[in-house]
Amino acid sequence: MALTERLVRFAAGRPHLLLVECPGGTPARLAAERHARARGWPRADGPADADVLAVCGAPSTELAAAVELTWDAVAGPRSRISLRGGEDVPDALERAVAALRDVPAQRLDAAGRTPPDAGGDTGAAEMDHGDMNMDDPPGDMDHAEMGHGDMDMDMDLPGGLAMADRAPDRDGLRLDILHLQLGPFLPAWPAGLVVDVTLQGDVVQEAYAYGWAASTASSWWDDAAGPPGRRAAAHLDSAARLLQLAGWSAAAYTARTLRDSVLDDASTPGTAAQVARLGAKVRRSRSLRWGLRDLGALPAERAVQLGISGPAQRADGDVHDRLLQWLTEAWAALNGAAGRGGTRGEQVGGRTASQALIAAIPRLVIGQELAGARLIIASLDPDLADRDVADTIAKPAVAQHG
Amino acid sequence: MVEQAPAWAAPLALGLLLALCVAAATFDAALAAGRGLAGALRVPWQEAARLVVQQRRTTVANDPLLWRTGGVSLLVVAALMVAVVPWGDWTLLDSAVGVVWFNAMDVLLWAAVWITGWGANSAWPLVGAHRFLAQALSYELLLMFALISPALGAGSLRLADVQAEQAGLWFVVTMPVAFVVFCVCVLAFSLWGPFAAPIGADLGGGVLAESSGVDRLLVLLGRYALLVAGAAFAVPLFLGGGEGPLLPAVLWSVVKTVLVLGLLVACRRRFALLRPERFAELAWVVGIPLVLLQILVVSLLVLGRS
Amino acid sequence: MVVDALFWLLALTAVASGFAVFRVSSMARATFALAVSFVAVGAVMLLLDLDYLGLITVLMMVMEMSIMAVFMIMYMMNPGGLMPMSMYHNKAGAMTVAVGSFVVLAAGALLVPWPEREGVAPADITLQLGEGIMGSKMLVMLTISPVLFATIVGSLVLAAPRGRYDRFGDDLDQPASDPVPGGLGR
Repeated sequence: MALTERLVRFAAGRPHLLLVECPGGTPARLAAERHARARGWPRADGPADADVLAVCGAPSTELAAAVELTWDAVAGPRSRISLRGGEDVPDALERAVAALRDVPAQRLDAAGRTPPDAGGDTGAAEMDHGDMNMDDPPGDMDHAEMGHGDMDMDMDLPGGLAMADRAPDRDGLRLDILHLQLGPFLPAWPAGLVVDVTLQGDVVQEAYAYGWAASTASSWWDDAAGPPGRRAAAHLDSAARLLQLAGWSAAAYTARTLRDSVLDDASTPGTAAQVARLGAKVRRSRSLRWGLRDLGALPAERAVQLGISGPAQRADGDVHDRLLQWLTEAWAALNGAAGRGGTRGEQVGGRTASQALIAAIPRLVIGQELAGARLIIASLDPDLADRDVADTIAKPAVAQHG
Repeated sequence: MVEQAPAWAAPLALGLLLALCVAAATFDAALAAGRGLAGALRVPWQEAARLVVQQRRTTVANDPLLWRTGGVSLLVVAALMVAVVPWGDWTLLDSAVGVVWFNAMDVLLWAAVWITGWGANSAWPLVGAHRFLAQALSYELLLMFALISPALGAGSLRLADVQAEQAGLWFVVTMPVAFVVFCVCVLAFSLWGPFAAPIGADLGGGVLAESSGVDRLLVLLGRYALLVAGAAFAVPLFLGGGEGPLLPAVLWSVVKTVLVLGLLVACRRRFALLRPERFAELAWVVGIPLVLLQILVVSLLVLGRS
Repeated sequence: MVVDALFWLLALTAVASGFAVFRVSSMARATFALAVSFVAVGAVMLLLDLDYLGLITVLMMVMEMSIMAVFMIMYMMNPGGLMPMSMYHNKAGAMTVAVGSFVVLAAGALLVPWPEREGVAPADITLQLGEGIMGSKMLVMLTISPVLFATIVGSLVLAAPRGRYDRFGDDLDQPASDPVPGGLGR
């Protein structure tokens, strides 16, 4: 027992941090990332990998429920902190470590819960089995045709799960479909965005994108009262998230470090040159180009039709082009170029830039593989902390097309 | 001449495997920006302690038998690979078909990774598992051809013979393409660096998305062990085995293994993820013709010599 | 002694996991039970000093079963393989045939008077195997390989829903359009 205690205390020196960002929680997230980096804490890929759950910003009622699901999926020893602004972050991280080291309290926590994640949620994205359509016409389940012998349909399915529905796939076969909810919390994911997808294999067949009700905050990135260089920092932040997803954590680390130094003082002479160097490095990387090219192509004129302005429209191309566009514009902004509109673009035809990006998500991700869809969404990076976005993009009544 | 090592050498070899795993993890932590070597020394132990005390997660209607078996298998496969490697003049298992042994063990990973992803009964790990099979279909033929090259050069599938054949001229000189392809394939079956797609961040951790505690520790340790096994295997295949001045042959084998291992580990910081759907075309359209040409060159060399 | 014990252990594993294919309720377990059965057979071959054949059996079968698992699950009713199911078709008939042929073969193996060994095993069995397959039968091999390869390519071409005109346009001069583009961008 003493050994366990010592191991727990030793391990608590380097907990994995899972950041859950609610719309409006941007400053809290930035501060948490900065302090975690200073302490050498790694970022968690998902709840299974996490020790500390940090909720950045104030969750709405719906998001609070999603936070609880994520918290349930974190295996103990675990601790949870709530970050509202940037100032309280160091204290909160200390509290988190203290909670992790408190072995009796952790024991109590472990005793009080059923095995972690017994609810069947993947946490990262709740896989709602109950959502699977049970109303199959009986003729649809012709076993003889499937050639798998006499399966007994009267038997209860393990875990109370439902049978999957079937639909034609892109190769003309009739295969099972799975409904999966991406978001509202995933690593490197636009805060509060939810995309309901229908999958066959890992190919997205249908998608609905919407924002969950946000806090009252307006977008922190576009706040004119903020420090100069916020535009550059916003683009570096988006680029860092995309690089993280693209599996190049070293470049993502550089981008985040640069973002923070820009926010500290945008006029530091060397920063613009460093951003330029990062841009050149990213542009040169063959493996990155192989991974991202031809994914989510969005020609400029198509973007205009969809009401998209900003970097996504100016990039005039695929995910790789949008990444380079962010880095180019970040460099330009540091050199004094005044960008047009907000960081995501400007209002077109009564829709904010982020609304237009969200509306474009289904068009771009349908037909893509799941991982590709995530990269495409990260390359659009809508900012839901825009009050207008949260007000007008309501959750669709019920997405029952699946 | 390579001799069969006594039975007590088996735990020694296992110890060496684990020690090299720790070294690889430390090196990786040291490469991660913002931390010196002193800080990095603690990292693997902190990670291990953390995962040992962490609760093991379960999911609804999971398949514990396959899930847990898959997790352990990576480490077992790596140990079996190391068993046939000659360390200088000693080997645990002097198989007459050591090269094929390595290949067969590597194929066991197809099953191991797939059942690990399957067992969790969750969408992300299953997609990760399928991704590994797609990746495996791309790298496996490359690996087979890369393994055949040195065997062809030596006229034997026995690693001791392959190693002995290189006295004077290492195979890495005559078959550089096969060496590079072999290293790429080691990265691919170790799920490392540009080939970490099955456990990629874009899938929220993929195969590992639902694993915590000891289950996760075993898979992560297994990855390092596979890197070590691959590096150890490259030494008798391409780098002359224990050949070298001054030091005893066993030490030269270890030193060369450490150098290859360092190279493999460093790849992680250097490259972005090579997504399997993209790697497939690269491997089949560019990689296979290249490695076939390499085999042609080796065959001509062998014919010219005899 | 140890070899005998290992032989029996592996033999029983092979039979038991082969039977388990029909007893387990999940498609994934059934597939990998079959793989375990093959691996045990491969290991028995290793015990018989047939190193190459034993390892190739393991290699081929595990690879095959892994890919088969994907297709089995893709085409079955229940993707999770969660539905308790049975793998029998015509249970009584199948049982009779399976058990009957096992008994006949096992009885044959036990009852046939095996001849005494003449001569000694060659030093390198793998070499001899290679010469046995390749040496005098090289012409056959050279004929069969292209035919097999052509069959694979032919069936793929027939099965593929999209041809080069779909990819490159009617004049084959467009950039490739694929649902999921490959790495070379051709």
